[in-house]
Amino acid sequence: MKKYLVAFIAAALVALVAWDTKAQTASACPTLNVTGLKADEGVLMIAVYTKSEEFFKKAAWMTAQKVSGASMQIPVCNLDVEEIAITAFQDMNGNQKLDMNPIGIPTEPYAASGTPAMFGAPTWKDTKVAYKAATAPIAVKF
Amino acid sequence: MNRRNFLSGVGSSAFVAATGSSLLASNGFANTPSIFKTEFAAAAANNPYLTPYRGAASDLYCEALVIEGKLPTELRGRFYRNGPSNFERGNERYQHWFDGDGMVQQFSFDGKAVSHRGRFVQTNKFKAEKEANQFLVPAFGTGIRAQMRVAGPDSMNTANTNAIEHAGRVLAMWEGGSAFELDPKTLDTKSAVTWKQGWEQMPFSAHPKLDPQGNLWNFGSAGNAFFVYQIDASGKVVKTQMAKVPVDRKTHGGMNHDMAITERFIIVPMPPVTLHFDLMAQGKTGSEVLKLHKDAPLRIWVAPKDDISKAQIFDLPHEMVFHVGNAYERTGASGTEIVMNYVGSRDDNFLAGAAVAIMRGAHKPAGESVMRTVTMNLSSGKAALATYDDTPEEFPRLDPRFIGRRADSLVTPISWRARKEADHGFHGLQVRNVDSGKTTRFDYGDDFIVEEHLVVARPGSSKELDGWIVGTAFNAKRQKTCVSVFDASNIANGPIARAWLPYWLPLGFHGNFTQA
Ligand SMILES: [Fe+2]
Repeated sequence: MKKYLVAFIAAALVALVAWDTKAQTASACPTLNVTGLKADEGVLMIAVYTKSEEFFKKAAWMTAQKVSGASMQIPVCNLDVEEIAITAFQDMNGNQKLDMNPIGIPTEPYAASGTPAMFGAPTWKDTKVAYKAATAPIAVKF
Repeated sequence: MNRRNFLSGVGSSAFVAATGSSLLASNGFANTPSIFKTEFAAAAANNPYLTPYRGAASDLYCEALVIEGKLPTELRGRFYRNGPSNFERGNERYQHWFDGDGMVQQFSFDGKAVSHRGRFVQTNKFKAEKEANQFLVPAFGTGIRAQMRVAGPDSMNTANTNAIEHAGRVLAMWEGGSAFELDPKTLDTKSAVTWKQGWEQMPFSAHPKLDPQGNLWNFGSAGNAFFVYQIDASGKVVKTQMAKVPVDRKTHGGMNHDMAITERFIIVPMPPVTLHFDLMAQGKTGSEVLKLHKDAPLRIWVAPKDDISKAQIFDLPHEMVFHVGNAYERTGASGTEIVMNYVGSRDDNFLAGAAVAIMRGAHKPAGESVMRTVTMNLSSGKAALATYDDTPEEFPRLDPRFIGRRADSLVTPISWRARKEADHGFHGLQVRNVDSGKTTRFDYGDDFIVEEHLVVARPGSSKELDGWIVGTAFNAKRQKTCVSVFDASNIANGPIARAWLPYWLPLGFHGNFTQA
């Protein structure tokens, strides 16, 4: 549990660094299909990790985009890796961090790629998905 | 107190505890009924006292209960109760009585007649599991692999422990997460209640206390982090507080259940209990998973209502405590003392034994369950403990006008003779004078399982026990549940009226009466 909380704190801290707010649009970029968002509320914050040892610590790419509907498609371009792992949260109040209640439970919606455990924090192992060889959009379900 | 301190203090909320079970659970869903389900079904077919543990199949409504005797015309209002009321999905059956989904019962009294409405609290958990016809999230006492996103305690919240109408809304309460708000007219579930921004899914315990000004006081705990809520008569949060309590999480923090108030203090017993959900998820039950640490003290947390960081702790011999009766302050030559009654048990037979066994239709002794009085001297820091007798009783209540003030009487369901059939149920009702220890009793008889009874004041009166005692009981012979109404000052003569439902209800935990 502690790990879970620490991971979320790490994510929140990561979220405080500069954001690339322009979506990349180069061709042949695998696309994230983000679903289950609360439509038209807040900002979708996405972190893309490319290495197990950097998971929840150092994102290879991040983006923040105003939520425009219940689902959003986000291209992720120019990463020279086979696998990526994505974590995301919906920043409802625009403070650029994942808010938590006093016992460390997230109070804003969060999600990850792959098949994250139903209980506890996402891990590299259960969220990593194929990147270069991706043939279909990468699902990130809120 | 900053947030980080709290994070390191988290450790035993239902959410945290269940993490272990979901990570370690190996019991997926079988294609055949579980052993609890088959054993219970076989036992219940031959034991009419087990019927309420079947759980309710659906919401219930009865326009007019059958009245015996004469209802007092001044007894008007809504009597709420809550309790675990659904125990099975698909092939599975819960393995602990506390696991069942909450169902709020509402008996409406108009002075002549009584109607009843019973509705399941539509938590997210209840709706999703009903739809899937299987359990999807871990429960308090049953290791279930999470098959639905658990985004915090409320994903597992059963809202099954108590119900109170306050400031025009019915609160269905649990211990590890939010209260759920229901409409008093329809019992429609509205939503989980967030008392203040950023406090979504915070623990809000199931035994809030109303002070004479109509303030609802409550606490919540997660490991050694304590939270206190003060909600005024209009339903607005006046103040929230948080503090760390000095307990060793190796021995404490597994279950802090009830609380008391006095004029100036809020009091929470912290029994030396830990819960090992990881072991439960491996198929272990009873005393292996729930541990009462007999080498650690029962700690009583006594905090000034206006600043809980100034709390004092009183240590007593090891003991499991679910419920307090009442508490009050008195000042004499030796300084200010707090006197509190509570029901104590030096064993964990009920929580780890009987409440598990009953779910498979088996009987285990419920263990000790006796009324004690603790006197805590705030100047000396010393506590003195006294016990009335060894007769098992539970669910203490008092005249609600005297909560937090000196009161003469406590009302409890009680068993003073051995019962042949009714597993861990009570056969009688008692009113005890807490000073003299003198008791008056009424024996419901062997057909009944007697539940919590409340005192309802006569309108306009200020004299203690001038009014009625109202409570439910299940009758095994008739297979029906009734509400009995006693003259509170004379229970020995038996109920002055009884209202019979045409059906039985699951046994409940707690409730409250809102006078019209
Ligand atoms: Fe209780």
